[in-house]
Amino acid sequence: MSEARPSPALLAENRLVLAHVYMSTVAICLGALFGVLQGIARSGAFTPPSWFDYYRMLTMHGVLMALIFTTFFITGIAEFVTYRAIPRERSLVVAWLGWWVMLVGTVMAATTILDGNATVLYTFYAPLKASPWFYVGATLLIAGTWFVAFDVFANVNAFRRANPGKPIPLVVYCAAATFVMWIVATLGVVAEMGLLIPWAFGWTSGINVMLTRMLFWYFGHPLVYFWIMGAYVIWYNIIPTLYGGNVFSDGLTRLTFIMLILLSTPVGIHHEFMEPGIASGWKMLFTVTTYGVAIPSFITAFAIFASFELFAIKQGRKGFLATVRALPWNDPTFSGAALGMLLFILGGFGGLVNASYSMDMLVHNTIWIVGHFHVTVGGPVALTFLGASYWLIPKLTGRALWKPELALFQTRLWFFGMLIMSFSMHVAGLLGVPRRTAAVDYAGAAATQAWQPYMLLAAVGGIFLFASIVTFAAVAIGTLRQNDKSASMAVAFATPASSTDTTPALLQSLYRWGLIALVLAVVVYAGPAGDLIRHPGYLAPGMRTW
Amino acid sequence: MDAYRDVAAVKDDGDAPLIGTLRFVFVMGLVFLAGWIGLYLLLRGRW
Amino acid sequence: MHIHRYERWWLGFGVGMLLVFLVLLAIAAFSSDINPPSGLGQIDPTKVAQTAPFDHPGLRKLPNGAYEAYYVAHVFAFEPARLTIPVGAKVTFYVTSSDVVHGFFIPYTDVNMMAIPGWVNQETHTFSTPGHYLLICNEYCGIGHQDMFAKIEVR
Repeated sequence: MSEARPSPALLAENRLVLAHVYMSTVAICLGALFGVLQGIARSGAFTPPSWFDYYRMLTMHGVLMALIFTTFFITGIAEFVTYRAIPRERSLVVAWLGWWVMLVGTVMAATTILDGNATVLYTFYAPLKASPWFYVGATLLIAGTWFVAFDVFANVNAFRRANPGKPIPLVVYCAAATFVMWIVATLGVVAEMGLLIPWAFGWTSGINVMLTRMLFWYFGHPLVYFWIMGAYVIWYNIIPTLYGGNVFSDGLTRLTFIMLILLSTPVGIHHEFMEPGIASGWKMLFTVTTYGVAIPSFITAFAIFASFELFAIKQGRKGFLATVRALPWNDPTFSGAALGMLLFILGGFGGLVNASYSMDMLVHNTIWIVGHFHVTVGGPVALTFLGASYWLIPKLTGRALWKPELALFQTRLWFFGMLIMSFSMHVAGLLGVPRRTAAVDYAGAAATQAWQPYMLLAAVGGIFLFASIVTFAAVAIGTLRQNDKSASMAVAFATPASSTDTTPALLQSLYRWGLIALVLAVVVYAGPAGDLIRHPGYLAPGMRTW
Repeated sequence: MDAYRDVAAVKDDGDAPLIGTLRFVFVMGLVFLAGWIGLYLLLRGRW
Repeated sequence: MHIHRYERWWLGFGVGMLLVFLVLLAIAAFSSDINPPSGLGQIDPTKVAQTAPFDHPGLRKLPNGAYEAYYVAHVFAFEPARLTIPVGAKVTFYVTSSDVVHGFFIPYTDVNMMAIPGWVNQETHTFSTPGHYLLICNEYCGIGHQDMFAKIEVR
């Protein structure tokens, strides 16, 4: 990408990706506001005013953070890496259509939540019945991502036609693999909407609660891997360029993403371990499959640190501490990803516990689970995306990052706040504090005495996090209005460390793994889902209890 | 001989001396193991 | 494709550790009967109040000395609101819901299950330590979710 004036096509592509970054930034800032209000309301420091509807705010926090911030950023970064790694003449109509459909869905869902007709939290469990337009909005948000997925696939196919036999560029392979997994996963929630929407409109009288839950969690766990894979695209392909390093192994990176395609979906029942209607044997099976999906993350831990160490060795340094010292901890994008990786160690540990069959009894539906997903998506993924924004916005606008030291401070504040909040939530969860409640005093019951300090500590963490997101908004706006337009829009993605190591053809194929994943998911779900279909039991009438 | 023109700085035949990586992943693995066992004993205690 | 030998060691350790976890979980499951609640019984959620044994929620002693406790979870309370259990009693809780999904969780014990309309879930626990236990709903069920609790006294 020579430094000549950027071509109109490049500017058009940048505008599209910027539209994604705007939406994800608005979503995380609003989401963080609701988050800190929840933390303070729940801290027990004072009783919130009666008009303060905790559960409406919790629904907004969940939807904004888990569905809108993540989805808009991942679709944006996927388009960005695909367009920059495969320069060609292309139409952006399908991609823009995707963005608009996602926006309409977002607005529809948000308005139904804000006016109190969808206080069902972001998991919208039946038989709680929200306004049908909430379900339609959520479906449109997902449908919009399919447009972006097919746009990425179209570019991959064009690359393959133009370069027969040549492997897809690694960064594009990782992004495309993320969407192959996403297509397989979203089939579950679309099927669930097929049951929920007619029921919400009143065309059907009852809902099969267990079936909707199984369909939701068929989708729900790969949803979290959609987030993690979005961060892995950045960890593997962009972070090494910040310290002049390489991808540890091209083949192993593709293998990791293939394993995530295959194993993200046939694991969902570990969210249903405490539910009736699923025999213990199936639950044990899903502990085994969930352990399977931990392997690609084990590989990633090795591959990422190996990339760090290969760079340190090139600098003539050896060993763990020397490697850590050789890394650019003052670069805000690197700091975001690296601090995110540190949090992800606590997240990985929690995941192993939650997946472990009977051990889930200790933590299910307690605030431990909330602590867990704040050090998987809230910390690692969010901090990686915020850090990546400091790298991405200059590439999209040509404007230099405004006050990089403030950006660096923001990543450290987020890390510090998340560590406090998540630690206190983990401990409180083991003491029995439930999740998703507006308060935890239970009329002063004896068991709740030990809970109070942890709720206060979590609120303190939440305040640091909110201060951090305000800092992020300031740096983002400052950069967008920056008149120093000297930043280079050029991008180079990390290349493999070894140029002689070959990647087998099997690891270069892509779509077939999606088909195999679908077959694997159906086979693994055949048991528990078959039981539910053979014994559907009674339908539950819908209910509005808020 | 052009295939070898861009021999990577790191020699590919022998494995790179990734001692730091080995130490990092094994410390992380042992933390997972110890933590999990601790909670497994907590579960047995609450049974 | 070359896999670094340290990587092979690390993945060997990782897979080995996961196998150890599976063995320990299997021991707990098969030798001590520690399993998550997986009740397969079904019940018409609109007729819970007329369906035995949930028409008379509460504790019942069995001839063999063990106990059964029948609970109905509904928007925003548990029936019975109070229960007294003799120390050392081995109690099997049978729980269902007559409206939306609720949680049925006794902190500091491993009784932690979902009450789902249309289904009967169950979990067994031996109450060896006397004292006041709190029973709470830990699954969002509506505006009164945070006030949905009951008391169990073991003496």
